[in-house]
Amino acid sequence: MMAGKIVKIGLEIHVQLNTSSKMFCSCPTDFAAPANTSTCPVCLGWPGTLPSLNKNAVELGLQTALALRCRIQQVSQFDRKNYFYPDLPKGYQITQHFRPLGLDGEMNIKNRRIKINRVHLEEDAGKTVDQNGEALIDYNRAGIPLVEIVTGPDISSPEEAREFLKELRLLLLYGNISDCSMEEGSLRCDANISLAFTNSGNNGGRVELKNLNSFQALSRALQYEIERQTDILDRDGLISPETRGWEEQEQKTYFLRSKESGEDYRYFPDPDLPSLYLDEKEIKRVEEEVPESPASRIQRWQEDLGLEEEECRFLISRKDRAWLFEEVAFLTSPREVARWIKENLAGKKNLDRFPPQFLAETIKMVENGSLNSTQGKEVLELSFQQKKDPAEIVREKGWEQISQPEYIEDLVLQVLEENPEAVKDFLEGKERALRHLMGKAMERSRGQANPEMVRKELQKKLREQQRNE
Amino acid sequence: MLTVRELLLRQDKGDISAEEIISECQKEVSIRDPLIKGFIYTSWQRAREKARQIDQDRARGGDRPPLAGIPVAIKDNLARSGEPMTCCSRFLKGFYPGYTATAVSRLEKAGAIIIGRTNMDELAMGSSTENSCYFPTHNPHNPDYVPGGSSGGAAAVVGGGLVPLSLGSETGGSIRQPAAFCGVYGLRPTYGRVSRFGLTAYASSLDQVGPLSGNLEDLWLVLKEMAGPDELDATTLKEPLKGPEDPDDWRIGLPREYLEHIQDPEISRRVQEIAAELEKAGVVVEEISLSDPTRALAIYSSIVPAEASSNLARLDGIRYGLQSDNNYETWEQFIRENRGKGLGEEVRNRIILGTKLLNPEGEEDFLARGQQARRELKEEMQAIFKEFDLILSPATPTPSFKMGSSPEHSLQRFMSDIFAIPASLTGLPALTVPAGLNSKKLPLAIQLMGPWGSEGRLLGLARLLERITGYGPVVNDTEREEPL
Amino acid sequence: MSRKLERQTALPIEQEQLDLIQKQLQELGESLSGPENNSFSEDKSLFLTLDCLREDRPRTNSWKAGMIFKVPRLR
Repeated sequence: MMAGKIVKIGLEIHVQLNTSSKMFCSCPTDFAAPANTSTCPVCLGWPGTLPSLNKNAVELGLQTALALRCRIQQVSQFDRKNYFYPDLPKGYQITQHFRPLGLDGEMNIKNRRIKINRVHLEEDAGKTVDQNGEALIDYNRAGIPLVEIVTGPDISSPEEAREFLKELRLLLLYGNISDCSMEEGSLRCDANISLAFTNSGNNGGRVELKNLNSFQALSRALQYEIERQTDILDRDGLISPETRGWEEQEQKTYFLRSKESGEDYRYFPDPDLPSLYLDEKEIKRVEEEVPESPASRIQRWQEDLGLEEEECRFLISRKDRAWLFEEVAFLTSPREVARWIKENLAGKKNLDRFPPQFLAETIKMVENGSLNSTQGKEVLELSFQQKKDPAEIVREKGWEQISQPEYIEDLVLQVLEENPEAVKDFLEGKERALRHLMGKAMERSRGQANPEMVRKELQKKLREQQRNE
Repeated sequence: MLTVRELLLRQDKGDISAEEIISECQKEVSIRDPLIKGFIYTSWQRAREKARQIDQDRARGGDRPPLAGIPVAIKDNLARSGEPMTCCSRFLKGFYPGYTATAVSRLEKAGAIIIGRTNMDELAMGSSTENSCYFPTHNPHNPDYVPGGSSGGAAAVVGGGLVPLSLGSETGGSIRQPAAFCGVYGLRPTYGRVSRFGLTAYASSLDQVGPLSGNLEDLWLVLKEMAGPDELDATTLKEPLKGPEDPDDWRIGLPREYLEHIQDPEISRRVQEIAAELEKAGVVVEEISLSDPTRALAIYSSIVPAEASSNLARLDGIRYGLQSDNNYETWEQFIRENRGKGLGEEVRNRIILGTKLLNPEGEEDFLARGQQARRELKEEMQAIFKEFDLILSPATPTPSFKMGSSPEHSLQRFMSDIFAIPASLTGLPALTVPAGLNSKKLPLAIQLMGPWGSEGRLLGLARLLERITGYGPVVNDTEREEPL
Repeated sequence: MSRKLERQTALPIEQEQLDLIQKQLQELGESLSGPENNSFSEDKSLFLTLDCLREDRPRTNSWKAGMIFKVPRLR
């Protein structure tokens, strides 16, 4: 690789919004429904139909723009992007070309500021499926609300691109804006990349990468492109603006089309939709309803609760984990809670449906010795599976701690009687014997004796014996 | 054909039932529509069922809905569940939309009975209804003459006394011009007054649904039922329709530039005559200066095809519409063949022109020029209406013309709409007021234009005109002597 | 040029039509002079505001569910 190489990467991300109905009609946004069962005259582009704007979609779009620190355009507009394609029912897509909802935002990743050029609303297209030389089209997806986020060319490496996308995903997830799943298609990402060399005059044109279906595909495709383009530029070749796809099987990019043949979309304002006006009060209201961002939570956990960054990362990576953590962290030691979640609940789903006090109780029982750590783990596991109060599980298992002084006294006396060797060892000064006797006592009581009390009683009885000698 | 008011009165008195009304209507249509050919589809069975239901509801003591039992015809570009909508285009033959236009469903809710669909120029592109894929419609006053267009069928069935009311649509002058040619009232409401949901779009920022009728009061009744905001159409107005205004010290403007474009001396004379009658009745009529209406034509030609080309892009044949059954290699070819085969020449030419207009590419941007000019025209009209209450003008430069004679392929063919277009471009309400017959027994008409939201004022002056001039709608149902 | 226009209109285009359109454009140029201004005309009273937008509730009825749409040989 040549020194003095500048890599410029920009991302164009499409996110499906978490609405119940489509952008311009009341069809449900259930993309898993059987083909063409969530369609209507509007989203099928029947003649005579008109778009009816979804309020929630606008609010979620506004939230996105605010979360990305954009300047909100109080007057934004919907435009038609005209082109023919089978998955585009009206022969145009309603988008926001001339006056998008948000401009000039930013997002920080690891101390680097990535500019957000624009955030705007638009509608999704249908899906085509090739079958026997024909293409079947499912319009369930047509009209689903999207927010498009375009970054500036500020990303400088494939790793950074991946990092950015991960952060963005978390931000949108925590904002309840989208499910952000690349596998399900609610988060889609195209990338633009260009290379420039500082010591030669040879700069490459901008290459657009499409068909990136996972975070991994994103970083690999970018890496591949850097190498491919560097190779060409090293040999004094040219990189002309073009669009390339990513071939997952072969792990290569391939030529799709040249960008010289400019596709003209004949954008013009959609006469069926007057301009959208958002007043300051409304913007403020939406702003106040934005849930706390992941970054802000992580900061709070580190500063106020003393968590390490790694611990935070683990918890934040899933919303339900973070929720459970926050609910329990004030009932007992936060770092303990974090540890417990990581060690015992890492693979579990729907943690947000697990009563937080159950976790708290279990932790407390182990902390005060009512349960040993093995028992604690099992109680938690059963409590989670059966959604039962841990106290009840302890009862069922017969693991209630026995703390009656008479019992403890009897127990200790028995153990001392049954283990004369250990007693002798202790009296000779071997402290380790105490632990042995503790173990015997716990064994005898099947782990149910209150360990603290046992220890105290043992020590008392042993000291008595000592004095008697 | 009786007026709506009379039909309602007779039903109230028990003299006639809704079913009988429909039955009579069917008879009339079967006898006389073959000469007019205004209908391209009728739904008598369904209509009779609805009529029966209305009669039953009444018998049970229910409230009489405002348009109970009134037969209404709708233009073939208005969707109605259970019947086809073809916009008189081969492309949409056999297409069942499976939903109903808001304007239509509101009338149906008010008790009106839709009895059929009327002929039009294909996809509303034309001024004579000769561009229909089916057959031309004949002017009810003279079968050799056109009824006008694109709502020619809607105007002809009212002008021929087959129904008391019809619904048409307008982009340029497609309600008012055929109304003028057929001797009936035709209203363009203020833009946004009536929902466009269910109206196949031509140029969205000009399109409006409007009523045609032989009676002013009927017209107003229908407008009232249809008007109002619709959640399904974001361009509808929230402001309520204001009731009819009585003339009160009104000043009426008469634009000389419009008068200069009249091509028929009888129309000129009729306009002056009516102006004089108004003056005699105490209304001030003053000659004013407005920009030449041919400029409005040019503006229209720059904007309308552009919007149309986009609106018609959904007609690709994949989800509905004509599917060519040739062999094709690509989806592009498939779509191109469907459209090429299904869409008429006029429609295709406008799409191509419109696409070019959206693609300036270093050439002059006519669309941008048109939009600016449109803004200026709107301002000009607003300024005039600060001084004047209404504008009086001719409705068309000529009366109806002979079939097969309209000029082709140039801006000339829009000339018939020249006086109508300014209101269309600026979203202002306008009314064709029929004014008797000319020496050839063809209808003449004048036009009233008002400021934004002033449909009630148009009605007020039209009522006065009817009283004082003795002219009015000419419904040619002369074969019927005895009333229904 | 005609290839691009065919793609943009999805119509077959003959040279005759192109000539006709050119003529119409020429006519238009002659009759429509004046400044160009592409911004959409704004009437603030007609703006869409949040409170008048459609509530995000999915419809409960089904409409012609399960239609099959296809295009032959999608490239």
